[in-house]
Amino acid sequence: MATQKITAPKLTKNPGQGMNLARMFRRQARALTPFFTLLILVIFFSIFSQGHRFATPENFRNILQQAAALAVMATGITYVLLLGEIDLSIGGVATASGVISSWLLVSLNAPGWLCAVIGVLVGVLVGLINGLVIAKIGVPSFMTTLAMGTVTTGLAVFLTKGRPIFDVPEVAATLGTGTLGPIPIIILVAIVVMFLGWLVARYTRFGRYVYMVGGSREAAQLSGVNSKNITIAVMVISGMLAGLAGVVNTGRLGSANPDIFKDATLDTIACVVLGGTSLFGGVGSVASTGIGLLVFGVLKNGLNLVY
Amino acid sequence: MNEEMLLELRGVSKRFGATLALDQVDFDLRPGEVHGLVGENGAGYHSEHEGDIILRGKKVRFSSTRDALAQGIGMIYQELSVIKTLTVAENIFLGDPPVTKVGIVNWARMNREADEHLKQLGLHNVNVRTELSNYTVATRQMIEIASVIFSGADIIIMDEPTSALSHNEVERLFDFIRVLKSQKKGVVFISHFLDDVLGISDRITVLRNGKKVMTVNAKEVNKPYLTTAILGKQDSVELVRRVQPTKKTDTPVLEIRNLHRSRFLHGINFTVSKGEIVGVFGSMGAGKTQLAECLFGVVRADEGEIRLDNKLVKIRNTSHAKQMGIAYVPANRQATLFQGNEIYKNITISHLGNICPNFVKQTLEVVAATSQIKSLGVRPPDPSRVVASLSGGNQQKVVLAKWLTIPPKVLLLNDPTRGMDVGAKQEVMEIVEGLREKGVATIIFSTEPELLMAYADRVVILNRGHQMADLPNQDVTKDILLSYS
Repeated sequence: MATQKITAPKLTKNPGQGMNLARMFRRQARALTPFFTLLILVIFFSIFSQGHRFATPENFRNILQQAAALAVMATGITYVLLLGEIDLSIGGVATASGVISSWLLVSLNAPGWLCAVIGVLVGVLVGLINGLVIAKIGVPSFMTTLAMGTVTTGLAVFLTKGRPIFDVPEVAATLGTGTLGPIPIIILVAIVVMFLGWLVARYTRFGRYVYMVGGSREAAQLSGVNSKNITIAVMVISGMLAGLAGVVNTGRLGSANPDIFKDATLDTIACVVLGGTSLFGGVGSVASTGIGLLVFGVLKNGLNLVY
Repeated sequence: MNEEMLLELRGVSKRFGATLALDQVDFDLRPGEVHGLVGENGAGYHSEHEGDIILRGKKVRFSSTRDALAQGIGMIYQELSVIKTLTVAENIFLGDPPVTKVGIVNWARMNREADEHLKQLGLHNVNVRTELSNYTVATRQMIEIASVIFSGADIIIMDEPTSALSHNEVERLFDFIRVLKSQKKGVVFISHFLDDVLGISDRITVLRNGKKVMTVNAKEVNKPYLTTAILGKQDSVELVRRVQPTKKTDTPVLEIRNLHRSRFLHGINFTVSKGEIVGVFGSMGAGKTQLAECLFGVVRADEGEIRLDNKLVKIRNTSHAKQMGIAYVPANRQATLFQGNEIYKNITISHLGNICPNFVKQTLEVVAATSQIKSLGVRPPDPSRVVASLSGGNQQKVVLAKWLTIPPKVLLLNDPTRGMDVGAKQEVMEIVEGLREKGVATIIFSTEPELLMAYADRVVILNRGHQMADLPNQDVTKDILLSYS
C-alpha cells in the first residue's frame, strides 16, 4: 500500500498533465462567452448607432439607470436559480410593493419612510410565503410563484383601480432620481445590492450551502444540510429584493403604475441566464449576472439607436 | 495462440492523473468465453492510452464508449444505464427506433423484433410492452445486456454485475451468460465477488497496482489462491473473523425501542454501546436502508423510541441528526457526493460551520480536508480534484471523511464496501475499526455475511422489516444469517 505523502496543502487549478490554452478556454467558456458578447455588442453599436449616439457618457448612464431596478431583482433571482428553483412572482411583487407604498402614502397619509419600508416588507412576506409553500408543503416553485405573481399583480390593480398613483414616498424619490455627484443614486443602489449579493454567495457559509443544495439536493440532505431552510431564506431574499426594486422604481418614475413590471419577471430571468447561471442549479454567480444585465441593457438600448 | 481472438490488448497502459491505472497489461478474449477480471477497480475503455488494442485481428482505437459500441464492444456499468420510464422495447431500440415511411415510430415492428430478440437470448418471461420500472434490477440488467447485443455487440464487458443481486438472481444471470457463450459472444466479467468470478469464468486475469499478475484457467484455482494473488505478499486476509472479546463498555449510546414504520419496519429493538460495532444483516428490501434513514432523520418512524445517551430524542431532519452527533454514509455513493465539485468542498460541507463559522475560507477548508485526506488515505491526495474522477473506494473515503472532521457519536454505514475491491474494502474497514477505538458507536448495514462476521460485535438480522435475531459475534455463522433472512 503506497501512501503518497503530501507536505503542504496545495491547490492545482488544473489537474491532469497537459495544460493548453484551448482546453482552458473551453473550460472557461461559460464564464467568458457573455463577456465577449457584451464586448462585440458595444463595438457594433458604437459603430452603427445613428450619429454615434451610442458611445456617449450620457447614453451609458442611461443604460445603467434603466438596468438598475432589473439588477436588484436579478441579484435575488441569481440565488433562486443557483438553488435550482425559479421565482416567477418577482414582477408582481415589485409592482405590489411600489403600489402599496404609494397607496399608503396617499390614502393613509403615513410617513414616507414607513411607506417605503412596508413596501419592501411586502416583498419579504411574499417571499416567505413562497418559501414555506415550496419547502414545507412541497409545491413546485414554478407553480407557487406563478400563483403568487398573479395574486400580487391582482392586488396592485385592485388598490390602484388600474390607474397610476402619482405620488411616491420621498425616500423612494431620492433613491430613484437623486444623484451623488454625476452618478444617479439608483445606479449606486444596484451596485451595492449586487456587491453584497456577490459577497454573500461567494464568501459566506450560507452562500456555499446555496451552491451545494443547488448542485445536489439529495447529497446536501444526506450531508446534514437543512435544504428547506436554505430554500426559504433564498425565496425571502428574492422577494425582498423584488420589493426594494419596486419601491425604488416608483421613485425613478414618480408614480406607482400597476403594469410597469409586466415583462420584468422574464427579463430578469433572461439577464441571469444570459450571464451564464444555470437554470438547473449549482452553477453561476452574481458577477456573471452583472454581465448578463449589461448585455441585455446594451442590446435594448442599442437597437433603438441604429439606423 | 492460433485460435482467433475476439479482442486482444498488448502492453496497454493507462494513466490517470499521476497514477498509472493500467501498466503494460496484456489481455485477450476468445469467442464464447467468459474472462474474469479481478483485483482493481477502474478498468474501462478510455481514449488516451498507450499500447495496442486488436479487435478481431485488426488494430483499432476507440475515441469514446459510443465508438467502442459501434465496433461491437458493449459495456454494462455498475449503475445501470437503462431508462426506467420507457418500455422494454423502447430501451432495446434506444435512440434508433424503426420508423414507417412517413417517419413515425413503427411500434408493431419494434415490439415484435424486440420480443424475438429477447426470446432468442432465452428471456421468455419479459413483456416488451411493459415499462422497465416494473422489473427487478436483475431483469433490467439482462435487458440492458440484450439491448447492447441487439445493437451489434459481440463483446460484453460487465462491471460488477452481481453487486446488487440476490443469490437466486445471480444464478439467473449466470444462466443468461451461458446462453451468450453458446452464441459465441465474448464476456469480460469484472467483479470483486470472487465466488461469482470463479462460478462463471473460463479464465481469470488478476491485476494488482495496474499490473497484470496472472491469467489462469478458472478450474485450476480456488478462492484463497485468488485472494492471495490479488493482495500480493501480504497474508491472505479473506476478512477473517476477529476472535477478540468484545470491548463493549456497557455505556449505551443509541437505543432503539420498538421502532415501527408502516410497510417497512415492524418493531426494531436493539442497543449500540460506546465503541461497539453492530451489524444489521438482511437482503435487499429487508428494511436496512429504511432503518438507517429513520435514525438519520431522512424519514420519520411512525412509532417507537430512539434514545441517544439515555435521552429520548425526536429526530426532526438530517441537520438535526447531524447536530446530535449522528453520521450517515448511504449505500448510494453517487447520490451522496457533489459529483461536479472538488474533494475539499465535499469533505467540509457537513461540518462547514465548525471549520469556518460564517465566512468560508478556502485555506481553512483545504487544511481541514487535507488532514482528512491524509488520515483516510484518499488517492490521489489532491483536495482540488473533482470527486467524480475518483474510484469507488476513494469516493467512499471522501464520504467518510466529511463525517470525521468532528468524530460522531453514532456512525451509520449502509453497505460501506459495496462495489469495492478487496484492498479498498480493507482500507475502509480499518478506518471504521479505528473509530471504534475512539468510542464511536457504529452500525453497519450489509448484505455481506463475511463483512459482518469479521467486524461486528453483534449482528441484528432483518427480514422484511421484522427483527429476526440479535446475536453476539461468536454465535454468528453464514448459515444462520442466510437461514434467517
